[in-house]
Amino acid sequence: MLGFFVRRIMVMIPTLLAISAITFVIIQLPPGDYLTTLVTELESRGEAIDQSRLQFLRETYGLDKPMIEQYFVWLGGMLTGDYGYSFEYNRPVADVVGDRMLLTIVVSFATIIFIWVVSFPIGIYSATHQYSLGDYGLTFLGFLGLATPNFLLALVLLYFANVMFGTSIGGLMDPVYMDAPWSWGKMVSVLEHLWIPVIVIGTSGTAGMIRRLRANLLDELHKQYVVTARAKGLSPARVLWKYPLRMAINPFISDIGNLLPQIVSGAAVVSIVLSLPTTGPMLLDALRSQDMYLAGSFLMFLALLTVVGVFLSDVALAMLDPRIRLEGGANR
Amino acid sequence: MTRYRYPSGPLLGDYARATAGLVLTGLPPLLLPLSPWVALPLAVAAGLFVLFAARTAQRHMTVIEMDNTGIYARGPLGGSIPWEHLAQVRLNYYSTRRDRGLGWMQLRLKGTGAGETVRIESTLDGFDEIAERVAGVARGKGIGMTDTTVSNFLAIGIDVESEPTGFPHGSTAGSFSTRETSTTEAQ
Repeated sequence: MLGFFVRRIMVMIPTLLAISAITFVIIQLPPGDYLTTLVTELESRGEAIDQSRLQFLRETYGLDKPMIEQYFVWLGGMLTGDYGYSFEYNRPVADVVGDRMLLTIVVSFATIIFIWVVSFPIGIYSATHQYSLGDYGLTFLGFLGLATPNFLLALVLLYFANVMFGTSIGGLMDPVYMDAPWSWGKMVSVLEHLWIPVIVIGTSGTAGMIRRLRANLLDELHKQYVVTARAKGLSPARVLWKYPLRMAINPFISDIGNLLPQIVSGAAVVSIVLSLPTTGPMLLDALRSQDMYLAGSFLMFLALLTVVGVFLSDVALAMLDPRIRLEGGANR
Repeated sequence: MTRYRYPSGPLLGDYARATAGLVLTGLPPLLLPLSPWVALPLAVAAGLFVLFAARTAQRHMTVIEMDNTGIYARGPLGGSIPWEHLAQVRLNYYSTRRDRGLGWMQLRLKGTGAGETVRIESTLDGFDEIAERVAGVARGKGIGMTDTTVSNFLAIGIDVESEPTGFPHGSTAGSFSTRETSTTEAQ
């Protein structure tokens, strides 16, 4: 396993460096910079900005330097914990993101747990009771979950939560707790509001997971060794847990790598609809206004989540099933 | 007695990986005042690369010997397993690619006695020969193997579940049907 860890880390480091370079270049690709966007915005409102002040700001933030120099300054800053300065918020990026990161993590982990807890038993039930009434019903629900746009589900759930439980519209807590320090009441308020985004964001992921687990498990259940094990007298439950389920969850585990960044970035539209104080809407704003350090830090964070997620899922797979696949081929 | 060594090509590759990894993970903490969130993972990774370099050096100095009495890893942190003590056989396959291609195998043998452990990677010259002989012994002794190990043996053309030929069922080591037992040097 040591060799595996080392080789995987050797892949991760250049991958992250390449992503950081590509991210920085992409952020710089649109013509102009944040200050150009700001000037255009002011001019459209009939206001003017002093050119010397503009030049001063450009020099202060290093926007007049060559792109490669800006990149290395940014990269060095990321390593030392200085993620740059957000032009839009006039605050260091770490301060801007820090406020929202905790709530994003809470929503993300609650969603992941929801997806796993709901999809795992349903996927197993659907596969072991193929073509039964329950399988058809759950399959229908799964397709419904896949087909329903998240923002629509968000609006419907917001309405019902308000009408039936009196939950305030939007946000992750009651307005009174918005800028208040953490307390028991604030936590309860977050939990009261949390189920809506968790269901909305988790529904499509759950539906996808159910379909994949069902298909994988059905493949395994139809294999010869399962028939042999049953013929030898093993109970259906023991046969299921012993091998087919372990084989079927391999793609499940390899999905962890994609799940983390998808939940952080993919929930942006839902976060806007639900007015969630998470990082998704902030990333959209940063990209739109060319707030390069804020957007760059976000994108690097997403890249890091992807790379670390894929690493974790690869390690889990290597531990659970270190098996060759004949179509791959080993070398010496 | 047959002797096997790890070839220099893959060993040089591993030395290069260890060096490159140490440079990438060890230099930034030395040159920059890193944030703890960055410094900690880099330090852990640097530690792994140091371990990897040490393990590569250990492999460099190791000679695997195999004869009718058992299998022996001579060198630092070596081990030996007389065939009659062989109790556990695992053959794992590792790959860093998403398609699981271009990976390597690791054969882990455990004996009944303390410290009777031998690990061999598929980069070793003559790995197939060792795997075949281990499979023969395991088959003869009726040692149970995981589904993964059986599949991996099959992938290199060894059917551990078939009836042994030329190897008395239940006997210990010794009579291998296809292997020569004269003294040959693999490298």
